Amino acid sequence: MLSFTLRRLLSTLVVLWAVVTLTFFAIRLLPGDPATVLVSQAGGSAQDIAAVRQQLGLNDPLAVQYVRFLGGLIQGNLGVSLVSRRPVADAIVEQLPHTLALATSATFLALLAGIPVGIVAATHRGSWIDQLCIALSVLGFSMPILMSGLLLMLLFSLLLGWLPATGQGSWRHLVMPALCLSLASSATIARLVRTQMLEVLPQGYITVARAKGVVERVILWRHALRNALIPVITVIGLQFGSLLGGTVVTESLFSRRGLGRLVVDAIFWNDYPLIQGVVILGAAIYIAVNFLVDVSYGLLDPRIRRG
Amino acid sequence: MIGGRFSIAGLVGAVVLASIVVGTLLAPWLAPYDPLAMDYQSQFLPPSLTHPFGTDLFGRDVFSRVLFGARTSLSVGVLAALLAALPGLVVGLMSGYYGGWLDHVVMRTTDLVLSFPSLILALGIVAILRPGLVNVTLAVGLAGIPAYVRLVRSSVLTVKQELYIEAAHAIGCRDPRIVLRHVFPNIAASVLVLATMDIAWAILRATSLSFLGLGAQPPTPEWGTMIDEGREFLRLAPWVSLAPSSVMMLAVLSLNLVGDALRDALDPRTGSE
Amino acid sequence: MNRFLIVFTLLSMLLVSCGGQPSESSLVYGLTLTPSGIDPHVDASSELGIPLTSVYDPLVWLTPEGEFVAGLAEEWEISDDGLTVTFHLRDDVTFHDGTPFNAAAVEFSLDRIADPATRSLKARGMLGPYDRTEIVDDYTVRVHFTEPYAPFLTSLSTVYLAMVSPDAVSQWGAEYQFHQVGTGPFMFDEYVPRDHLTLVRNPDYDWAPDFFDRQGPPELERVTFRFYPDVATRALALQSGEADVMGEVSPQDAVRLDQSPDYALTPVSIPGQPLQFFVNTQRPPLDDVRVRRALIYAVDRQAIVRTVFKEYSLPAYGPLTRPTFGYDPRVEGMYEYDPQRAAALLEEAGWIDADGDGIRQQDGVPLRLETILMGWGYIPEVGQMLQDQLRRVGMDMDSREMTFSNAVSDVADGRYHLAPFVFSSSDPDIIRTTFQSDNIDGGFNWSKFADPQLDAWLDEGRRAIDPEARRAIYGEIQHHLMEQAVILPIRDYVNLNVAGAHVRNLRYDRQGWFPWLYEVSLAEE
Repeated sequence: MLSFTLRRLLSTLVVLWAVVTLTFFAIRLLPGDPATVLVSQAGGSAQDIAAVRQQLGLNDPLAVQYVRFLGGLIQGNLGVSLVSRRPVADAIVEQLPHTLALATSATFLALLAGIPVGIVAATHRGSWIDQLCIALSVLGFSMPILMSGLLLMLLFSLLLGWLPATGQGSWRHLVMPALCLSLASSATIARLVRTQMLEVLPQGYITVARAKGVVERVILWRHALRNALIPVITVIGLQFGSLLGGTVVTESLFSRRGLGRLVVDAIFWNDYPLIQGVVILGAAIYIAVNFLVDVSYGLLDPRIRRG
Repeated sequence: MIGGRFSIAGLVGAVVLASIVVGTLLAPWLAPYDPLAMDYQSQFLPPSLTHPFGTDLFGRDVFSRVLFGARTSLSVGVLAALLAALPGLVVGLMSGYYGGWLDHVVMRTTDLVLSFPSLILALGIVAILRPGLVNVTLAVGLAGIPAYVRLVRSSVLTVKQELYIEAAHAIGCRDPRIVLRHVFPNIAASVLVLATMDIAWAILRATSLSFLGLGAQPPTPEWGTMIDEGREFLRLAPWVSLAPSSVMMLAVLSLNLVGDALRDALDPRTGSE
Repeated sequence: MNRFLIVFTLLSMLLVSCGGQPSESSLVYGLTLTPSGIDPHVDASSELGIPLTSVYDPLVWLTPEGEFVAGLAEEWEISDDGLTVTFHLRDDVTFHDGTPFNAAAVEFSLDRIADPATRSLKARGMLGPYDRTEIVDDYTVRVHFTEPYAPFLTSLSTVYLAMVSPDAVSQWGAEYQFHQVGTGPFMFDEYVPRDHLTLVRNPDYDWAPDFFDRQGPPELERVTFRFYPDVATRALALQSGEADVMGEVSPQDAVRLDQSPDYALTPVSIPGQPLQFFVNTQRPPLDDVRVRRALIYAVDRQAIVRTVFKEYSLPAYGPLTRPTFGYDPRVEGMYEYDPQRAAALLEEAGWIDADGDGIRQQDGVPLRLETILMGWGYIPEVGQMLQDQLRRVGMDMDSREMTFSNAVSDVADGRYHLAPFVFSSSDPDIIRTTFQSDNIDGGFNWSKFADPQLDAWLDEGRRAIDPEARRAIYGEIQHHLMEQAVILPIRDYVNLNVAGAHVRNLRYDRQGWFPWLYEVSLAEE
């Protein structure tokens, strides 16, 4: 078990290094020199640009910059944002909780909606209820966040006045963005739960349980769902990454703080250190979440734990 | 190949999808106006007989733009799905079939790509290649490859265990022949299902990029850009963005329904009886 | 499964931060972009000035009528050679941190801007040929220039040349932007990037200039600035009561809110340069002045303004907007919308539609303009109308919307015919940035226009201390630039501010961007 964990950790580190390296070189392909961008926004002269290039160390060979960056990274130093001149780590730490709050509550909402819909669909397979559940979940998947977000705002903020349209501060600010973000994942989860349940339900141990007279509800929730959930958790792990990406649109739309907007602005301004920092962190979170997902298999399925 | 029955939802989806595709193909004949023609005097006319979906900021006919926009958006979706599916299929087949170091390299590479949030990846690719429809298609397509690689590879691994593959080896079939004749047909169905849904996903993804100002170049009619342009006037002229977004939702919905129905029809375990 | 759900629930609950309720006489002010940094000596955005104008007092105020009156400096004299300005400072002013405002603070502030280590993006440019500050006595300073610099007082009246507390800067160093200390009616309370910025009342404020309606501390106790980057949600935030004042509301929303008794619209015209497309004069066919002139004649600016910007903006006709010092109304008659004239000019230049496809050609090359568009300020909308209008006179336009970084790189490579930009500025000297020949390579002379006569005028305009002489020089410059047709002006930039009707006495300074929150009061609701 220990050697397995070690090997996994090692391969995780290699992937992380590859992410770092790829990111470092890829963002230097962005059209536009950061010094020019930085100085131009203020209407600076060609001379100013040369001075800023020198100050930012952009004149050094790429290899030197890479080694410098990697050296800093090993010491936990992500560098300083070119645009705001603040440590990248500070900027990230400020935004991270907001994005995590959004992504986790969206995941929570997605499970809350997706699992029951999937179960109901599976237990009514082929009937109109099944069809309706599928159609509903697909509808959630089909709505672009741009539209669903704005429609929710019009309804709940302007017409009903129940929820604040923008910003952050309390759970009420989180409801609409999380709902928007969760629509697509809840559809995915509902369909997955349905498929898995359909696979699990005809299996021997369920039939045995039924024969023993176990109540149908218990069979569904305790026996069947438990086994059906394993792939669901894998998908949540995979989707967490795309949720982090989805926050890009949601955060802008609801004027929320967060990593999504941070990284878009950074890309627009060619803020190399900031892009590096956010992308590397995003990848690290993704890798960590999926590591946890692997571990949680054991909790749900004793066979894996023993194996 | 598609044995058995299509669900009602699947049929409805297929019909809606077919009518959208027909509308797309016949756009030049169906559209009452030139989608680019401006008439400043007719700004924000509500839907009427002359303008079924009303007019936009520049007095352009929204119905005509939605029709022509379908061409752009569907092409982006189909091309991006192909761009993800074809390389994904080839790499996944080779990786799964040959295994070994090739498989190892491929799997680590997909790990690498998957660890970037896909929208951020697409955003980065577009930012490097510069905004525009072709690059959006490329970016969305490329970001989708790993999903196919994984799907195909795991299917191949399952198929490889089957007796008839062993039999094919035994009678001296060469690898390409085995892969093409025996392995591929077994996984084609699941790839087809994924690709159908991927078209829908790519259309949505392109919308997000349009929102960030990286999508289609104005005045090219494209659903995402139209929705985004109209959002600002949602209360003044809701039709400007509601029309394209409704049609887009219909398209995405029907693609997904068709995909679902295909899956059910192709996979006897989950299909309706 | 339960365990799993519980973990997620707890996580989400833990991570949601809690916010407090705002107090009674507080105001929420909606900003548009999230500024990258907010040190006025270092950063360049207009957004930073909206809050910080209330944190710092200028040495001299520029009144709404355009006159300079006493601020932290009670009097000043400009030497005959224009090389020194002597300021006599107030001796009763203290910074928010309790330290006294004096000559040393002036020297410190100006030297900080001039110090290359500060990496000033905007303020350094506004300080011009600054040499040094000489402390004559505790409350008298003499600022030395290496050559006469006419925009100096105007620059001094802006927040970018703010008088900062030397103690605070020394204490906080690079973190000063989070702990700013000035002498103004409001004190800097807190800045959380991308979320909010809060100012609180300065209870000791007792040095307001005479032209304000009040004296003593301001009425508002607290002002919170929030960021609303998405234009579609700005009016929504205002109407749902989340913000009391909102800047840069969309023109269509402005029309709607203007008709409501619950809101008051304040459109403010911004001095500087208008929304304009720089015409790349080095790239054929735009190296031919006839084609450039045809381009301007072909564009119906009235229609663009009516359609996109509504009645609040005026069409622009030259390189400076109407509220800018030295604006010359002569440019208004130079290019009336005249598509026939445009067509005639194009024919004269040898561009003829021989194959009847609606696009003119010369030697088999179609007349096609590559245009850079950027995704803000309704530039994509303007681009689409340009395309439509140019096509009517047989010019094809190929537009590419891109980020600012991409645009900068395309401009550096010369890969464009037309490229848009807006510069707001307190002084006409801004057009040095865009038209001086030094700034062609790597700078902002996106028209790539090199003209020794123009360069000479630009230097002269900067040195001319006498306002009337100065006005005459800029008149010549504007006329010359338009005669050479180096830009396609579109509209004067107008900031559409909307406030709830309960917000009283909201007015803006001459820069157009910056509200004088000191005077604002709230009506009982």
